[in-house]
Amino acid sequence: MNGASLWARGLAWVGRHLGVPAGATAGVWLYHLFVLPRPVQGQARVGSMPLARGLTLLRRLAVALARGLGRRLTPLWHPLERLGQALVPDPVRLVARLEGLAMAPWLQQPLLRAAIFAAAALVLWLAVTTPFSWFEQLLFFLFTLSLALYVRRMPGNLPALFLIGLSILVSLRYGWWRATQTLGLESNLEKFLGWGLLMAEIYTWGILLLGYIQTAWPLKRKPVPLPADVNLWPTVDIYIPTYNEPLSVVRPTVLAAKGLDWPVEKLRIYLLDDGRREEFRKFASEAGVEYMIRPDNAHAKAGNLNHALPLTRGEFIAIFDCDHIPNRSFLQLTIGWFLQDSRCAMVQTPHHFFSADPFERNLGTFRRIPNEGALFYGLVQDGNDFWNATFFCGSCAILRRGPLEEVGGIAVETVTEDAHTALKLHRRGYTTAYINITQAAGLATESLSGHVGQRIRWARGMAQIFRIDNPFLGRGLTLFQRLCYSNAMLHFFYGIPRLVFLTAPLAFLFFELHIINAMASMIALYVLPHIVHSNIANARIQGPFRHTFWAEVYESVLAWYITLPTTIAFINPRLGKFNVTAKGGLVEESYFDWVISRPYLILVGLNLIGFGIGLGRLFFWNTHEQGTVLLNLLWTFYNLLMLGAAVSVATEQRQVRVSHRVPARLPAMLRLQDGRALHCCTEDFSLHGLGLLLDCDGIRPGDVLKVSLWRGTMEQVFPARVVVARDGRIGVCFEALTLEQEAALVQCTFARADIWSSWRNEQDADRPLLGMKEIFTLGLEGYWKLAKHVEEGCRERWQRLAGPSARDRAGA
Amino acid sequence: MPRLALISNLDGCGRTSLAVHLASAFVERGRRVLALECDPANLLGLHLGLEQAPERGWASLLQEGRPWTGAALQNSEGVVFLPFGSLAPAALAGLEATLAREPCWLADELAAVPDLADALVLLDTPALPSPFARQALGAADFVLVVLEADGRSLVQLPVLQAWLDALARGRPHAVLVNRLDSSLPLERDFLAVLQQRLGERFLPYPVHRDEAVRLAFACCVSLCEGHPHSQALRDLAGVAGWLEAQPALAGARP
Ligand SMILES: Nc1ncnc2c1ncn2[C@@H]1O[C@H](COP(=O)(O)OP(=O)(O)OP(=O)(O)O)[C@@H](O)[C@H]1O
Ligand SMILES: [Mg+2]
Repeated sequence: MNGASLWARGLAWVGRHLGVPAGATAGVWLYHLFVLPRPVQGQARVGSMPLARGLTLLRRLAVALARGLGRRLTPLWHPLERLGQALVPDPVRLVARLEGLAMAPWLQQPLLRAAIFAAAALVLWLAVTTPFSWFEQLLFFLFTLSLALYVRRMPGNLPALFLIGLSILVSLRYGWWRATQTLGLESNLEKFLGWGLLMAEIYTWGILLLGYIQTAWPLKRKPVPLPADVNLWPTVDIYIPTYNEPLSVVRPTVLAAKGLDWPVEKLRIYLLDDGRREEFRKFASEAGVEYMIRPDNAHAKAGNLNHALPLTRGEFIAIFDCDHIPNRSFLQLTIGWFLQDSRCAMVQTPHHFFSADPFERNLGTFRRIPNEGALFYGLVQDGNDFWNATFFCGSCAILRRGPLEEVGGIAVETVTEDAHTALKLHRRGYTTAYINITQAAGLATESLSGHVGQRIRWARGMAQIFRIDNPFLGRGLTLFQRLCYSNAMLHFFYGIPRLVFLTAPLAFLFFELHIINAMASMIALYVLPHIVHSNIANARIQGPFRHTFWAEVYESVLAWYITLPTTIAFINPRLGKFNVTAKGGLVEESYFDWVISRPYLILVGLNLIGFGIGLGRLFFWNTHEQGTVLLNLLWTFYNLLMLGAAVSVATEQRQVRVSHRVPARLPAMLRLQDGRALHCCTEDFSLHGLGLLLDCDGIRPGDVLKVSLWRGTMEQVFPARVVVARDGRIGVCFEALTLEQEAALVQCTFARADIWSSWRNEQDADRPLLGMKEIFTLGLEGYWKLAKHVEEGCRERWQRLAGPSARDRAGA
Repeated sequence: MPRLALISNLDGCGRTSLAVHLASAFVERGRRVLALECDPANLLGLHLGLEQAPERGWASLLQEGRPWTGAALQNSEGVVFLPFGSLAPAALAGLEATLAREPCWLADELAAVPDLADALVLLDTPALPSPFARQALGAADFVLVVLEADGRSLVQLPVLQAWLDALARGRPHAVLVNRLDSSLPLERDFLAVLQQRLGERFLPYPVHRDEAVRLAFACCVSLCEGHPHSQALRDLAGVAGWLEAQPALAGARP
């Protein structure tokens, strides 16, 4: 038997198993190999092609690996923690004593303080600049790490400050070493890339440091109770600006505003309709609120609000975006601070979203992992508040009329009018306050493209403010206010640095360019402490609000898109226009957003090739610098995970319900047609129906009944029809509600005072290793989803190209 | 031995049902309870699980000259109760005459019973101005006025107030709305007016109209057993909790 016939017989055997007819063309072979599912005996699995199946396997493996790794790594910590324990035996007493010491009167003498600062600076200088051999550096790392691992379990804010201190020390040490030891680069290209990388790193150090300052001491301000005498309560105007949102989104907001706990004669509600829609005018008059339009749409939302300003006269102005439904207690909780502090010009409360944003929906992390906004509203604003630098966020806030008029109303120079207005208020010496109790909730942006658009606007606006009203320059701000504002603005310039990090290892893997002139082991010994310590410190201070590594995920996804707008706004702040984010839509079918993910797919491709080359260099050719190759491989692998997560976000998951259901346990009553009244509680609610937990004996779909909900002791009754009834659950949908009933419904559900208070407690707490695992699985999941969509795309295209003939043959 | 009287000047507004289910609710909360029927209708026993109205009750024992507490019964839930018993018309007229002469008769008799020390006594009464209801008013530490969310109740409010002023001056009372059908706008309006008129004296847990109450009576089961998910049961638990928090009804716990 010669080679040719052996080959032919082998081919025929494979063909038989794949169902390829004899003498098929190469195209048919490819189709059967990659697109058509192989006929499987028993149960046929549709849509699993070899590539996707391989990836599934890989994913399972990875999950198992991540799990095992987590378990393996934990014991490693213990000896280190014990070492720390040996160094500081009684932490709680130590913390208490240190706190006492810091407050001791003899320490308050300025001279002594200066001396202590000078000594500390000297020690810091020595610790940062003393050159170490690799062994010394390793010991240094082990020492700081064991301290950190031990200290991080201590209660209170002082240990957090200590962790921040350690992180700053280690990072400075890394920075010093990078700046002095690693820049001896050879060619000009290498110099350019090397310095570029250094710049990107300097940027991230800066942001890290500013972040530490910003969140060093979260204020956690409590509301001030109002005077018992209602006559002393001020008058309030509520502005609800709208432009192109559907009425169904605006209705609950207006109705909830009407239900705010405030004397009726001291509360006026204004619906500011920039869309000038007849439907809205009618609704406003039915609901009994003021309706206001203006001749033009200049300056969008800011212009809309400013137009209303001189035409109204409440002492305070509360602003709610038209999709933020306020809780009834909003005014009761916020006004107190104005009465206590006569310089207070603005009180902000968090923005809360009861629907999943695209990240949460597409990654399946809703209410499990803190979302992008959680860090800002959970921690950063509380930190800002400590430095009297609370930002105005455009909605869910209340301003004092006097100061607002003094700065010329809402700022119109930039597209982030809110932050700029607050900056102007701060410059005039007014104070602001943040009350971290969710007092309003709305819909998150529906699609990834909408989300990206909104972030682009923020980034552009911040860049504009940075240019035309730079917080570092100008009068009236304290140093820390300047730092807080700068962080908020500089933060949005992460685009370029993030892209630099995503591509930096490729310079070496592709072209053998050395952009850091140091031994791989030394790099690892310096950079690892920097990464590890900043993660430990951040896990401690940001734990409940941002899980480790998630900042990188959020930034990686947006990096490409905000790079250009921020750069352009930085160069010419007057370019660019305002865009409104669409709300209330629905992703009807799962799809992959090829347009949005294109830059990431290119990056994925490059990194994959780089990874392949790196593997080759590790084992087969040019193997003289394996350490460097290994380091770059690890870096590329990390980048690939981040990019995988970005790709995963671009897979838009189908949304099922038009009206978002909010899970909540509220007491309810069903009045049945047979005269029975059943007590039960809700599982979730929406504006169109309720999910009820109830033994459903005798209740059938189609039954008409009355549902009662309570607002305080006030019972409200709604006509409803049963839609589903099974397994101890009943779904009812409301039947034509009158406007009054609709208002009552909003007040019994969305506008309840405490309805959002439990959301934060339901999230997992952060542990750095857990974060690593999350990212690991998410990244791989991204590739898995991508493969599935590629597969679907291939099949569709093939079937379109080949037409019926190919399908016939495939069927034969 | 705190005493709670359920009083009304409306017929059939649910005093007996409330007395029965409140008694169960208090027992559920770990309180010792005696339900005392001050109503010749002799229906309490039926409500509490007896198949037939009992012949023997405290009034019949009294008639025979025996200690009247001897008629006490206990149902499976642990509610102790004293039915009225059946009385011949002549005997009933005699008893009514005695009560008319001695306005404090019931109060004195109850005070003389030794082993009631820590129990809560619930007094079920006929509609005012029956002499039995007046006795109960005189003996109560706390008066629970039962009304409905309708025009009748609103009109009767001043009359009731006059009775309370005359017989229960200085002792606290609250007004409970029973058989509320909140799905009817008119009833909701009446409820709001009553609440506004009564202010502090309005008991904030109205008991809803619930067919389960009548079904339980018809089937001879307690609400808790036969209709555990009924709104009436839930409301009554709220009422019991509210009453227990009233200082006049606080008693030594077992
Ligand atoms: N919450 C309720 N829901 C539905 N039915 C009720 C409720 N409360 C009482 N009822 C019904 O109303 C009727 C009258 O109740 P009940 O006999 O307890 O009232 P009463 O005030 O004691 O009357 P009377 O004046 O005859 O003593 C009964 O059939 C009872 O089942
Ligand atoms: Mg009765």
